[in-house]
Amino acid sequence: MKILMAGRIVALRQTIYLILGVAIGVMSITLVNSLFLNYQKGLELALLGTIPNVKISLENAGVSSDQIIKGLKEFSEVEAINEVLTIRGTARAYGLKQEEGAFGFKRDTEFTMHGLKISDTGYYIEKYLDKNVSQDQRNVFNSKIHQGLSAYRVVFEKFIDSPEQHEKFCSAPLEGRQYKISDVDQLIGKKNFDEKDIAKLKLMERCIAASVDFKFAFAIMDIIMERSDITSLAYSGRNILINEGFAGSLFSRPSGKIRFEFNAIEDATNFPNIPERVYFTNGGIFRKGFMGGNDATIFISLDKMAELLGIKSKANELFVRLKDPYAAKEFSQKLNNKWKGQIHVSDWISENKAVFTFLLFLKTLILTILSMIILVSSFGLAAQLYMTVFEKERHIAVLKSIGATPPDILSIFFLYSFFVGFWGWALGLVGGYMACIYSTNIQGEWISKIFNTEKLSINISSLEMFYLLTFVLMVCLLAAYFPAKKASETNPIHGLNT
Amino acid sequence: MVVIEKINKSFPGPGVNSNPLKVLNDINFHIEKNQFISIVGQSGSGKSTLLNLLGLLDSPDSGDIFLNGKSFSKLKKSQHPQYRNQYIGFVFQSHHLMNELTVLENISLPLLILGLNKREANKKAKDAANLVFTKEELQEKDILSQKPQLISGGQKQRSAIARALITEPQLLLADEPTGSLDEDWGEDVFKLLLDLRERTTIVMVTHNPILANKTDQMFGLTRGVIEKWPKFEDLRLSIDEMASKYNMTNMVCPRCRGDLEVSFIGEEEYPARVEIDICQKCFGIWLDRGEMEVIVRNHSNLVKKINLTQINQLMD
Repeated sequence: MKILMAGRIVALRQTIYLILGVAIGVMSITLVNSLFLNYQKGLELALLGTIPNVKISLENAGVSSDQIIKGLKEFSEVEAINEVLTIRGTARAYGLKQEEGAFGFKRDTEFTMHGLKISDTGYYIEKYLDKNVSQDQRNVFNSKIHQGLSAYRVVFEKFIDSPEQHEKFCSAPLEGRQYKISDVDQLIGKKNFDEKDIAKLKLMERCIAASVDFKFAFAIMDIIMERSDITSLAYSGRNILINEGFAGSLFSRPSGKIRFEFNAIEDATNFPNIPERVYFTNGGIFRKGFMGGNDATIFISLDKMAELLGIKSKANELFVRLKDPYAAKEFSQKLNNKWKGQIHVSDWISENKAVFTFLLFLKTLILTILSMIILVSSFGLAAQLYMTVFEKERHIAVLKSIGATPPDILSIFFLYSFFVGFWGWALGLVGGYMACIYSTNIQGEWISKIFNTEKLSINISSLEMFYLLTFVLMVCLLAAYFPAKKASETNPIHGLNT
Repeated sequence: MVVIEKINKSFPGPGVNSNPLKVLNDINFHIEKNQFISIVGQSGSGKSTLLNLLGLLDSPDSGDIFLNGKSFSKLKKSQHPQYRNQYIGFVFQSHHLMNELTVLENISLPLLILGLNKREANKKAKDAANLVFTKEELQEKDILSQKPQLISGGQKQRSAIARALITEPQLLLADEPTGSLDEDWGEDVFKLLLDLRERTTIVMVTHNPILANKTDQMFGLTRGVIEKWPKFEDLRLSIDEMASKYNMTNMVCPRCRGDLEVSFIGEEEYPARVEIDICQKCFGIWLDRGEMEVIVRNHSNLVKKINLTQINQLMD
């Protein structure tokens, strides 16, 4: 009876409006939440691009690095360990005009230079994934990429042997140009790509974009893939990878020279033996998405760094990459427990706590504002139900006269609200999902600028949707409470006489 | 069997300090099982209040009602709905069917409230419908799957009766069941109620004395006091009987062929007393069909309508 009456208590048209009201709220929340998660993932990726999941400082450590590395390898969570020699300080940097050796553009900057074993990170391979590439292939490919770094215009040293090709490649306006990988696919006539193919395809695409003979580039790629070490390609010794913004401020292009004057500014670095003036080669430019800015984060091979500092290859930090970066906090706790007080461990989540707290605040704020749509709809629902109580007073009285109890009447109204809430949620979820699908097809430069990704993904968490359902139902039931109570208190004698 | 014992019921007066309005005053009567009784009275006489008390929709200030020995006063208020559902059926002046539901759904509502599943409720609803609808209505017109707004007034009221009967109640309360119907449909519905007498005890409140007269017992309710009324057949007394029964001493007609004299003492609408001064030949009393009135006639000339209640008051 309750279901029967609940289904008929309000006219279908009004019910549809009420459902749509809730659905719009749910749809907005679903879409915005998905976009927000895209943003958050982009931010996390950007953060993870330049900072490790877990960082162990070896300065003043009570345990040797070998012991720590050995200990780390016992943890199943660990995916990769990288010995890093990091220097921080202030320097004056000059971008030198390519091939001319003349002074270019100067910049005084605080810098962080990480000397690391490049082969472990493989960041010189541009991260490029297309929808034609299967998830398994992506995983293989991803494993070769330093998380979050989106290096581009990486110089392939062999190009130097063909200055004409190299110049074409480096000066090609790659920004904003779109090439479908399927075009390339046709060229090589192969459907199933392996890791190497994907890298080749990407390179080939670049070559097409830069009007460079890709067959020539393939040979280079083979070397890169086999050796997996950028240092092997270095022709002049000190290749560095620099941030896009930093490169921009120096007007430096790949293969261009950069001069660092470490002691030009008073407090220099924490390494007293560092040469006063050092020439580097711009070995590649990487992007950090919206986290990029123009900070001077520099990557160089560990050997070159040690050579630069005049020390033997000795790391002062260990970068640890985990299989699950989000378990970094718990993992660092484990390390602290293992080597109590002997090492200093930091994780990317704790280091960026302020960022995540702000994100959480922002997310809560946005979702709270959006949930107002649902709240407003609930007022509409309450108003409609109040109207129904007055309009259907006689029907309620009849129901009571034939034996319906006050809880029965309450249930009818609650069931109706449940229907509205549930269908509003379901419809909103479908609408939100479709909007998310639509968002994945949006293309443009601004997408990568905002979200740090070339393509948006759909982020709908079933748990969050369950919470949303709970919220919607709670709000709807609350909206129904007072009208339902009023209906349940209807005096049948009065109602029958209306 | 229904026993009504010393029922009193008052409502607050209209003013802040006004005395309570006594609607029912020491009501006592009983109804035998499977009897069909009618309660007749003017508007505001307390008929509906009495019906509400019988239907457990309201509680008396004092006194008690027993339905087959079960005291209403001993039922907890929370038990009222269930008791109503199982033992009491209601038929209202307006059918009070829900337009959003089909006739079948309307009829099955009490059983759905009782907790029966839809299939069982529908089955019983069809049984109940068989009692009130013709085969033609059920089969050819498929009335049960119609919405109430698409069927006639009489069919709506019969649907309402089927809804009241579906739980096989011990007491069926009908509040002006023919009040909103035209003459033919009214008779049709009333006949149906008469047929249902074998199944349940029926209490009908009505303004229609003709119909009331056809029930087993007729009660008049006047200013909160109930009394059993004689059937109209009994009321048609000879003038001599009238004269002796009601002590009408001055029964001489001064102008047999002329106008009938009816004198009102007090206001004409609510006379304190009416003096009828006619000869035996000129005296006739009957009820105008559909109106609760006594028509006093001189030969064939209608002279004045007098309300039966007023006549009874006068006669008392």
